[in-house]
Amino acid sequence: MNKTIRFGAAGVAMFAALGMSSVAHADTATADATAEILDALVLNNDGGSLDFGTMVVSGGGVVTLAADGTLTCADPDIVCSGTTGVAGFSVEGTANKAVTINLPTGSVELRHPSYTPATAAQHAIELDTFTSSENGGSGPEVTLDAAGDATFDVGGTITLDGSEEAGTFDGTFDVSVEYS
Amino acid sequence: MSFKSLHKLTNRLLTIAAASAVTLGALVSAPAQAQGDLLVAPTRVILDGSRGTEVILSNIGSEEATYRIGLELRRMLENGRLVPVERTDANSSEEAALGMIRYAPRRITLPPGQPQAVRLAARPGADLPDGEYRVHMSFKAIPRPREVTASDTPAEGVSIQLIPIYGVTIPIIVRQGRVEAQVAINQPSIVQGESGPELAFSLSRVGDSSTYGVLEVTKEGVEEPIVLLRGLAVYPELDERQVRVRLTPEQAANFNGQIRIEYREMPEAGGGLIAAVDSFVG
Repeated sequence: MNKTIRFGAAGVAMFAALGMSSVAHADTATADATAEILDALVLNNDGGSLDFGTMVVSGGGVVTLAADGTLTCADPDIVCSGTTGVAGFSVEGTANKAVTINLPTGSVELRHPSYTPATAAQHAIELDTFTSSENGGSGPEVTLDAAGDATFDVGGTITLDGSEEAGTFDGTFDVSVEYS
Repeated sequence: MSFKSLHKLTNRLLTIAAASAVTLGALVSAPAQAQGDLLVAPTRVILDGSRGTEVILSNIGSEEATYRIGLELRRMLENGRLVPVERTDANSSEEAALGMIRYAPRRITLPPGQPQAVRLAARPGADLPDGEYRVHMSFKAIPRPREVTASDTPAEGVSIQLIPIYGVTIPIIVRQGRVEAQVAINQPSIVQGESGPELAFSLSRVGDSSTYGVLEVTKEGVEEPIVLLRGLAVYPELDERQVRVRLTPEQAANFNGQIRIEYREMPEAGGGLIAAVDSFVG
């Protein structure tokens, strides 16, 4: 099999042409496994976790951290302080390609270290409405630039009922970059 | 080529890449405090025979990380988004695709800078109807349990530790028998999007195969393509895909008179013309 190594014109990606496959005609009898397009795809979480800072909670309300980093903490019963930060990601891959980003569509539960199902009211916080700083016409999407680079940030909204106990609530959320 | 020699080749590729400050070097040594940063190559796999191939996963973070490799289902919507599909909602073609892909390992722990190959192959059943079958292979870091230190826990107030579990998916396409597709470009026009002018058109597709390629908009007398979109896919679940491309003012200014839109296979795949249209857009 013919092996060649070359770098993309934009210097982004590594190509190893392990064989050619025609989109229009692929025949089991003649063709073997071919890997097409050996660009590399890179995902870095260089902006850390989603951080709402510290909130002193004396009543219910919502706190929103927009994907551009803007904190909205307008309810009088919630006092926000400390450093906040969105979760930042960088993608490197095929230049000029649009890539779908999937964020959680439902809500994510954050739990206090003392969480038990019976104490869920004071030991759980719901986080929902995940938002991306980069969007296509119909949802989170990022288009890699001519060098194959892109970044996007993720924000969200938490809903507090006012009974949350002091402490650090832990949780995870999924971020998936979908190559087509 | 055997798995072993392919593995050697890809390892060498990664070694060369890491040594190249100009190209991949920058990409591999990008600042990465997070645990779980990853590189995957290739970004798309087509299997059309019984032999398998490999996908390289590399830990480009600064700490040891464990990754889970899984098969998932995605469907493309008319607007081009790839949406997750639960296994319980899989149609017969998606079930067949999930059933025929073999891969290993499914979990990899890698020190920083270390690549490893994931081997994969398709084992289609003898009575599998001709067609294109597809799954999406996901590579996702599993976060290490975090130690809560005293400084993390405020004396009063509520703080939140929300860790992203992040990863990528790439399509794994199995072509059984002879599959074809024809695509046409329809109704290119300039529309006003949320943040300015956009080029809008649709790609209609017939046949059993997906298409994948480069879309170029060119104009006589303008040297560079006005619009260049790479890695544009239309999957068989779609008869028609809408495409919207945001335009810069400079790009939009060029949309007068006759333009040509060409959709070609990727250069690595031969660059053959899939569809073209000459149109007046303004």
